[in-house]
Amino acid sequence: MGFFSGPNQVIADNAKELTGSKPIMEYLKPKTVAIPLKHMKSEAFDVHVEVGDDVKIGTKIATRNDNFTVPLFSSVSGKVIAIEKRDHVTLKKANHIIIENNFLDEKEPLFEPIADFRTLSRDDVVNYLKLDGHQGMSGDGYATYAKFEKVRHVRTVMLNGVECEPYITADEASMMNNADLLFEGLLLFIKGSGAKEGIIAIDRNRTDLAKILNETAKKYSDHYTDQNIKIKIQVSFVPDTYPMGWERTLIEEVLGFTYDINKYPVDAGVLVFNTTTAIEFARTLKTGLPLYERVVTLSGEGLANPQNVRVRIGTILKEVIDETGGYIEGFDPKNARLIAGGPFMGSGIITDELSIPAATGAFLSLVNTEKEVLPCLRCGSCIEHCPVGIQPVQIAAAHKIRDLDFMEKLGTDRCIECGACTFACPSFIEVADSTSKAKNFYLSRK
Amino acid sequence: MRFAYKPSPHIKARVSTKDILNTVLIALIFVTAWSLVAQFINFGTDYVLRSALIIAVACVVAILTNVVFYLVKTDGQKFSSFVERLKSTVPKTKKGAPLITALILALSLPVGTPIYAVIIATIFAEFFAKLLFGGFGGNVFNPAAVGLVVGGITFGSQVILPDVYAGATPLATISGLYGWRLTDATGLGFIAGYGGFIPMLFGAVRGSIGDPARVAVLIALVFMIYKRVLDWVVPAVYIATVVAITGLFSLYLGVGIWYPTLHVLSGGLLFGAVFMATDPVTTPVNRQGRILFAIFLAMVTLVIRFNSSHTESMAFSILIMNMFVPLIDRKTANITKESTTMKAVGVCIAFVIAISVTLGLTITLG
Repeated sequence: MGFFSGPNQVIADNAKELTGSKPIMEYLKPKTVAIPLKHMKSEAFDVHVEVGDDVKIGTKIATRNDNFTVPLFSSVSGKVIAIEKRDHVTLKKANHIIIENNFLDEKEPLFEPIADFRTLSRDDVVNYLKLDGHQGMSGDGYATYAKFEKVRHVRTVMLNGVECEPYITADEASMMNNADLLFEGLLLFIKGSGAKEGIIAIDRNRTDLAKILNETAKKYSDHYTDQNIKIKIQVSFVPDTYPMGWERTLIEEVLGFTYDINKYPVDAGVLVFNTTTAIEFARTLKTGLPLYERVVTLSGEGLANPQNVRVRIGTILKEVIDETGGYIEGFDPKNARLIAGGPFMGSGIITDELSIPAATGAFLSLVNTEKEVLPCLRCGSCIEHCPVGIQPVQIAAAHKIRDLDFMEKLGTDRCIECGACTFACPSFIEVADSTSKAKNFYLSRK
Repeated sequence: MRFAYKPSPHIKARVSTKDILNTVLIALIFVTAWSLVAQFINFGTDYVLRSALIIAVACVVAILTNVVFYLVKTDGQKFSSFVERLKSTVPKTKKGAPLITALILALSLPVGTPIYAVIIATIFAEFFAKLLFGGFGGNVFNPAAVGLVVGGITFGSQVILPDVYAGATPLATISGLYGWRLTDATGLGFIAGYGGFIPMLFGAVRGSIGDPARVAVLIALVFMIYKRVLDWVVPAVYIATVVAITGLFSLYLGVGIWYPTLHVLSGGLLFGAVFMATDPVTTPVNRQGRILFAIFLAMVTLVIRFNSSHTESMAFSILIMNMFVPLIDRKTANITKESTTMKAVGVCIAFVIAISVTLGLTITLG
C-alpha cells in the first residue's frame, strides 16, 4: 500500500455465510476412490500396487520419484480395481489408482503413534514430514518437507489461516474443531525450523474462531526451544481483503516488513504454512496414519445446499455434490462455472466426475458470472489493485506487439495469477488471463 | 455434468465502466445546468438561449456522427432492413460516450461561436479524434480538446474571440493587453471591474459557456472523487503546480497573492483540470505517470499563456501532453510498489524542471 501504488488488494463479497455457520457433513463411505498419480505438475511415480491387490487405509500405493519424494496412500480399505487415465483437476487427463472400498476401514499405520512431541528432534520432524508425504493443503500442494530444506535462519513460523478467497471455509472449520492440533502442529513446525516465534494469522471477522484460538493459545504459552528460549505464540488478526493470504501481503500486514521481490519468505526468516497442513501433520504423528481424509467446502449459488464435507481423499466430486443435495433446480451448466479452489485462483473445471485431491480445499459452482466486455478505459484499476504492483494493462499491450524488452521492464514474470486485476476491471476484461498468457510467452522466450 | 472452460478469476466487482461514464455525465450535466442558471441571472435570456443552442447542437451532432459512422461501418454484419441497421448503431454509440465529449466541448466554447463552427468542431472531436482511432478507449488525443483546437484554428477569430454576446473575457483582456505582466494597479483594478473574486467564482464572467460555473466544477470534482471515477492527484497536482509557478512569477512581478488566484480562475484552466486532464483514456495509466503528466501540463499551459498570442491555452496543452503519454507510461513502467523514495525524487525533479522552464522562458522572452 502506498501513495504511488494504490491499495494493492481488492475487497470482495466473501460469501462465507453459505457454509461457515453449518456443521461439517460427513461422506466417508465412497464405493470407490481414485488417487491421482499426479503431484503439482509431475506425473513421475513408482507404483507399488497392482490391480487385484488388497490395501488398507494408510497403505503406501505410489511414490513420486523425480525431484520430490512424495508418497501416496490409500484412503480406504479394499481392493485395487484399476489403474487408468481419468480427468484431473488440472484439466489434463492423468493416471489414477482406483480402489474399491470394502467398508471395513482397516488401518495400516505408517509408524508408531508419538505420545509426546517434545521427545522429537529437529531432524525427526522433517523426516516424518517426508515419510508421510505431507503437502500444502490450500491449493498448490507443495511438498511440506521441501520447505525445511532451504532453512537457515528462521525466526518466525506463520500459519496462514486467512482463507482470503470468498466462499471457502474449510480451513476455518478445521481450526474450529482442532484448535489443539493446530497449536501442536505449529510447535512441530517451530521445532523443525529452529524458529523462536509462532504466529497464527486469521481473518479478523471470524470472531468465534478468534475466541477459541485465543483461549487455546494460553495453554501453549509455556514451551521452550532446544536452546531453552521461551517460544512466543501469538494469534494475529488481519483484514478481510484479497489476496491477504498471499504470503508477501500477509507478512507485510502481520510482521510489518517487505522483502526483495525476487526472494522467498524463508530468505526473510519466515516460514509460512497453511493451518490445515499443520493440523493434519499433528494428527498424523498422533495416530501414525498418513492423511486420508480432509474437509472440503462445496459452495456457490449453483448448489442446492452448500456444505463443508469431510471426505476421503480421492472421493469422486459428483458423489459428494449429489450427497449434499445436488445442483439447484433448473441448473444449466452453460450458464454456470465449476471451480476447483476459490473464485479468484481456482481453476475452471469442465466436469464434476473428478477425484478430490488432498491439496484442494473447495469446489464451487457459480452461476450468472458472465458480463459484457467493454472497451478499456485505461483507468488504472488493475494497476492499483495488483498485489505485486505490476501493470497488467501495459503488460497486455506489450505482449500484443511482442516487445520483450518492455515486458522485462514491466516485471511480467512476477505475476502471481491472483486474479485481482480482472476482479477490479470495470470493463470486465479478462486482464488476469491476458497477463498470465503474457507471462508464459515471456518465460518461454527469455 | 460437463461445463465449458472459463479462465480464472470467476468473480468480478460490480463497479462498471458504464457507471463511471454515467457519473462523469451527471457531473457534466450539473455543471451545464449551473452555468445556464448563472448566465440567466447575470446576463439575461438571450445569452442563455444562445448557450443552450450551442450545447444542444454539440450533443445532437455528436450522436449523429456516431450513428452515421456505425451505419457505414458495420463490420460485415448483415441486416434485413434499414431500421434494423439503424438499431444496431444504438449500443455502439452508447459505448462511445458521445455526450461527455459534446458537453466538455460545448462548455469550453465561447458563447459567440457560430453554429456552423460548433458543428465542425463536434464532428472533428467525435469522428477524427475518437472514431478514427477505433472508438472510445482507442483515442490518443482528448476528443474535446481536438474539437476545440481544430475549430479554433480553422475558424480562428470567430471561435476564440468573443462577440457581442460575450463581451471581453477576462482572459482575452489580460492576455491580449498585458500578456499577463500585470501590476497591482492594473490587476486589482481589473478584478474590481468584475466585482472581486467572489462574483468571478460565482458567475459574473463572460467567456466560455462553462465559465460561469466554476463553483459547480469544484462541486463536480468533489462528487467525482467521492464516487472514485477520477484520480484526484491529477487536478490537485496540476493546480498546485500552476499556483507554485504563478506564485513565484508574482514575486518577480512584485504583485500580491491575487495573481496566482486570478490564474487559476481564468479561462478553461479549472474546467480543463477537472474534466480534460483526468480523462483516463488519454492520460498515463499509473499514478506516478499521472503526477508527471499534471506537472508538465501545468508547465505547458503557463508557457503558452505567458508567451503566445493564443488565449485558450488549456486545450493546446492537453493535446501537447497527450503526445507524451506513451513515453511517460514507458518510463514509469517499473513495479509500482518498489522504491517510493525514487518515485518521489523523480516527481520533485519534474516539479523543479517545470518551474525553471516556465519562468526561465517567460522572463527571458520578457
